Amino acid sequence: MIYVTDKTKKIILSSAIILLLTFTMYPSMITAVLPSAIILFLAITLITFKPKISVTSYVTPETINFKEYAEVYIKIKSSKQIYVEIYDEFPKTVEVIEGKPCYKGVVNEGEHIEFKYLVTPLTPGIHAWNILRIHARDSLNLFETILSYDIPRKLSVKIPKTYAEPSYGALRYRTLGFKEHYEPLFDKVKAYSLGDSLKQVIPRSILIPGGLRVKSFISETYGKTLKPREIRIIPVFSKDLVLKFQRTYSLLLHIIYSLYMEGLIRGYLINIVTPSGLRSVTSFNDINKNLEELRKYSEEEIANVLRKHIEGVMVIDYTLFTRFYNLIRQSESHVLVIMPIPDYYELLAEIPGICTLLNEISKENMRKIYTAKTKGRIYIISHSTDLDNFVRECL
Amino acid sequence: MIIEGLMFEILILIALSALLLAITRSISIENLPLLIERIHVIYNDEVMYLEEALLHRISRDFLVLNRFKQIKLAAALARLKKAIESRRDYVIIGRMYERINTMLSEKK
Repeated sequence: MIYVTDKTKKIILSSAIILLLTFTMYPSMITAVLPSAIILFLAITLITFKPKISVTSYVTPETINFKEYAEVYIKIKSSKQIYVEIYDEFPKTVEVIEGKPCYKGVVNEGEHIEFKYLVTPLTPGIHAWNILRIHARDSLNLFETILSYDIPRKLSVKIPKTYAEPSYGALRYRTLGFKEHYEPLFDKVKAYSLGDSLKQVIPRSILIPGGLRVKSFISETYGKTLKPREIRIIPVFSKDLVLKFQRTYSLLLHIIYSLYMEGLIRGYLINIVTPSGLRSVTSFNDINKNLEELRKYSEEEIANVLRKHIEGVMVIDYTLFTRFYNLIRQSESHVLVIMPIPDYYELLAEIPGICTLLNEISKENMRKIYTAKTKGRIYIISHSTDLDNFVRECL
Repeated sequence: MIIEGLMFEILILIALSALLLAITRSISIENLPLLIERIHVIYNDEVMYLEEALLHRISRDFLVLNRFKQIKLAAALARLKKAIESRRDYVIIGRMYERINTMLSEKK
């Protein structure tokens, strides 16, 4: 359907007013010539305004591993000179990390424009693109038409079979502080001296000349204990997040998956804290099952978990952070606050006016987090790469 | 007789103009329906639709203005409210909001 712009509306209104006024003062057919000419011109422009646009778009590569990137290519060709605004409705479960899913500009006759943007999927699985919408306007900005293209574009994201080396610094033997058992690593055999445990005496050395021999362990040699390493993830999110903020919920999932992967690379045990107890996770499926279960609990039951002041890594959504702030401030856990990112954020941020509003809302929400004081450290997560700081500083 | 004829011609002209304006209004880009699903945001720690947050944001600035300036802005605001009630597209609402925002910052 072709729509008229504000400019056309103003032209028609002023033409009608001029016609009525001039005809009242000078009742002659001549007075109708100018407004009629204007309306005729508009009619001719309308008839000739038939934008013929061809669109090519694809996602490459079509299959990637979790935490890898894919590119989305869009090519537009027009048979006439038009002004276009292109909005590509990408899935809510992906994040645009480079480029824009939007283009605004003139396409000259017979020429084409090409642009691309880089995305990273927030969760494993299949991500399907929605329609590609084009607002096309004639060169005089009189008429506007909306063209929708349903181009089948999918991105399949697999869970990697092997995980990469840790990306942030050397492996540290620091715990996030939780479990007490440990297994010391065998280092060498040494002569028995007073104070050595009899349990560590090698039985065969009793029969061998030269005295008793005992096993020595790395922990004793270097004067420190190799503590077992465990990450306790405490996911705290509201039902609103799952239903109304799918993009933010995907980001929360992404953070938990990433913590799990980083933990595995660094040799940590990964546990998820639920109101019914501690759940060990060994795969993405385990994480999904536990999060599904968490969705069934009421906010009061989740608050009870926070009242226990379990130490770990709290991954919490912004609404519950503000609601349970008094409980969280007493906890020594590191807090990763998932900021509320509206669905299709990158697309909305390209619309004048809406962009201004979203920036203001984001600043106001951020200010509240910055002024919050907790025993543990707070990390603001509004992008998948925001986890890097936490990993670098705490793992 | 001449006056009657003139009146008749003027009436016809008014009717034609009104018809033309009504058609123009009905096919105005401002009537573009919302093409994506409604978006939620968190504004003042409350979950609400994006357009509701937009109205809250404007009303905050609007109330600061004096009565005379409020009257000047009222028409634009009424159009925006109508567009929001009729669930117009975010591109259209954004354009309207931008216009009002510019007017508000000029008035300040």
